[in-house]
Amino acid sequence: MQKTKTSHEVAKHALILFVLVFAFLPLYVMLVISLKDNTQFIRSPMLPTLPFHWENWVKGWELCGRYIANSILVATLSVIGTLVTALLSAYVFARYHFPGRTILWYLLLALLFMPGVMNIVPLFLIMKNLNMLNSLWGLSVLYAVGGQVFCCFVLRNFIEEIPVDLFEAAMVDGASPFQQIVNIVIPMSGSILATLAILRFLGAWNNFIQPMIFISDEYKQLIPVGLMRLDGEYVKQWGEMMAGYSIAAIPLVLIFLFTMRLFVKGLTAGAVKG
Amino acid sequence: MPNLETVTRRNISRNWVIFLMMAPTLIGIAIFSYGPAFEAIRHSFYNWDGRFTEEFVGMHNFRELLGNIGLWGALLGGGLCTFISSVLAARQKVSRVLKAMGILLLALAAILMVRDARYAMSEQETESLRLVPAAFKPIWVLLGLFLGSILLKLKGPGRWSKVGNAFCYILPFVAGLVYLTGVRKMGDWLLWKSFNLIFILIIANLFKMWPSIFAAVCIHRLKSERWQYLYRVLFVIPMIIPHMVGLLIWKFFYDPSVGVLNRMLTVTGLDQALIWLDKWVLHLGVFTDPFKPAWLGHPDLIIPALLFWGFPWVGVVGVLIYLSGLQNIGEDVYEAAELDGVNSWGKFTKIELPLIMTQVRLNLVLMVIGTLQAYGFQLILLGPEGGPQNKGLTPGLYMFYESFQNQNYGYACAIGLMLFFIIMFLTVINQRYVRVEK
Repeated sequence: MQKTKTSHEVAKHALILFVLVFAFLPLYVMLVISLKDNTQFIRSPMLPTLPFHWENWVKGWELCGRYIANSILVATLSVIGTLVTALLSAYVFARYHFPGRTILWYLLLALLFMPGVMNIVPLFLIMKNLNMLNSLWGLSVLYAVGGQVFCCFVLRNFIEEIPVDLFEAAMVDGASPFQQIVNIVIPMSGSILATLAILRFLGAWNNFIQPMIFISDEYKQLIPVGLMRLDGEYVKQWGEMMAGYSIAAIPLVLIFLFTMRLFVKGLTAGAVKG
Repeated sequence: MPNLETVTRRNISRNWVIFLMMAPTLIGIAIFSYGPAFEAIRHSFYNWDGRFTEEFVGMHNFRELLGNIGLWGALLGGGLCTFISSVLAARQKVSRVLKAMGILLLALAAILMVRDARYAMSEQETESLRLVPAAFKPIWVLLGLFLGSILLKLKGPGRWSKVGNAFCYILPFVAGLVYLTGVRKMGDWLLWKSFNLIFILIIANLFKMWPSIFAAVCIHRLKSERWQYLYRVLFVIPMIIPHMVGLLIWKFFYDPSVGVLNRMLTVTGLDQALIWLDKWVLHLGVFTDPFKPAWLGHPDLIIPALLFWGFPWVGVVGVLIYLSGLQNIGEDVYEAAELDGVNSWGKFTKIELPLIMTQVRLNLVLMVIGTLQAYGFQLILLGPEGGPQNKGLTPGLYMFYESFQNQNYGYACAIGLMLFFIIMFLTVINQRYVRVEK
C-alpha cells in the first residue's frame, strides 16, 4: 500500500472509531438500560448504575419469549423455502434456453421494482381466501415467495460464472439436473448461499408491516410487532423494555457467531454486487 | 448461446423436469405478487371499502388525485410512446409511428400547459399577483433548459450530448410537476405535500451516501491487514440489532424528557445557542427555556429530526460492499499514482471512486426507489397520519392511511399505481443512462 505518515494513519483510525462508536451506541444503550429500574433510569440514563437489576431480563423473556419462538419458526421456514426454490429456478435460468425464458426473467425482475405497499390490500384478501390469514405457515409462505426474486437474481449470476465444463462433464456421466445442483452448484456456492440465508433471515426478522396486518392473535404475533407493543405501553418500564430488545437480538447474535466468517467473505466476494 | 442446453418444442418431453423445477417460484409469484398487483390496478378504478361497497367509478380516483387527467394522459402517453419507440430499433416502421404519436401527444400536453398558464395568469391578476411569478419563473427556466438540452442532444459533442439526452427526459417531467403544484394547485393537496417530503428526503439521502464511501476508503487505506479485518468484523456486529429495536432506540434518543439528544444538548450548552437562535433569528417558538423540544412531536422539528436520523449515516452493508469493490485495486496503480505525485484526494477521485462507481450507482438507484416507497419508518415514529400537520407523510404512508384508517381502498390503489409508474419511470432512466455492469 501507499506510503503514509503516522499522523495520517492515526486520523484514519480516529475517523473509523468515531463511526464505530455511533454504530455501537444503540447496543450500549440497550444493554446498560436493561439493568436499571425506572428510578435509576431517570437519574442517569446513559451510565451503568449499581445494583444491576437482572430480574428485568426474566421479565423481558416472559414478555418476548413467545414472539421470539414464533419469529424463529417463520424466519427459518421462509429461509429454507426461499433458498430451495430460488436455487432450482436460478439453475434453470442459468443453464437452459427454453421458449419464454427472457419474458419470464423480466417478469421476475420487474418484481424488484414493484412498490410493496400497493399490493397489501388485495394480498390481504387473497390470503383470506386461501385461509392463510392469522397463521404462521401462511406468513412463512408469503415471506418465502417475497424473498425469491432477489436470491434468484444473485444465484443466476453466480451459476453462470461456474465453468461450463463442469456441467458438461456431469451431463456426460448422466447426472440429472438435481444431481448437478447437489454436486456442483451447492458445494461451490457455500458462502453465497450463507450470505443470502442470513440476509433473508434478517429480512424476516425485521419485517413488521406484514405480521402487523396479517396476524391478529396476540399469541401468534412476531417479535417486531411485539416490541412495538412494548414501546406503546402507557407507563413504560424502561429496564424491562430494553431487556426485551436485547433478548430479541440474541438469536441474531447466535447466527452471526457461527456464520460471521462466511458472511464477511460472501459480502466482500461480491455476493450482492448486482 | 452455445453453452446453454436448448429446450425447444421438440425435446420438451425429455426436459419437462426443468419446468417442474421452476414451478414453485412461478406459481408463488403468480399468486402472491402478480395476482395482488392486478387486483390493485383493477381496483384503482373502483370505489371500494374492502367489504361491502365495490362500484366502478372510472377515472374518478385519479381525477381526485391528480386534477386534470387530460394533461397527465397526454404527458404519460407521449412519454411512453417515445420510450417504446426508442427501445424498438429505430428503423422499424412501428417505432416511427410510435415516435410521431409520442411527439404529437407531448405537443398536446405542452399546448394544454400553455393554455392553462395563460388562463391562470389572467385570472390571478384580479386576485393576487404575488403567486403567479413565484410559480412561473421555475417553469420558464426549466423549459428554457429543456430547449437547450434538445440542442445539446442534437448538436453537442459526445459527452455533452449525453447530458442533453438525460435532461431532455427529466426536465419536462420536473416542469410538469412544478406547474401542477404551483400554477394549478390541483389534485390532492396532501399527495403533493408528501411528494415534497420525498424530494427533501432523496436530496438528503444523496448526501448521506457519502459517509459510507469515506468509511470504506478509510478502512481500505489502512496499512495493516489485521486492522482492516478487525474493522470489517466490527462493522458487521451492529447488524445484530433488529431493525425495530434500532428504530425504537432512536425514538428514545429523541424523547423530549428522558431522551439522550436533549440531555446532550443541555450538557454541552448548545441548548442556549439554539434558544438564542430561535429567539432572534428563526422565530419558531420551538426552543424555549427549559429546553425540552419534542423532536418528533413538533411540526417544525419533524423534518430536521428525520434528516438527522441515523447519524453518522454509515450503512454497515454499504461499507462492506464498497470494500469488496476497493479490493480489486492493484498495488501498482497506487505506485504509479505516487510517482505522478497524486495527492490523497486525487487518489480518491481518480482511482477509488471510479472503481466503486458500479456499487455507488446501484446503491443510488436502490436508495431512490427505497425512499419513494418507504413508509414503515414514518409509521412507527409518527403514526399513520405522519405526525402533526402531516409533516412526515410520505406517499406510501398516505396510501397506508387511506386504506387502513379510512377504508378507502380504491383511492389507495390509485396512489399505489401512481407510485408504480414513477418508480418504473426512474427504473427506465436508470436502465438507459446509468449502466450497471454485472
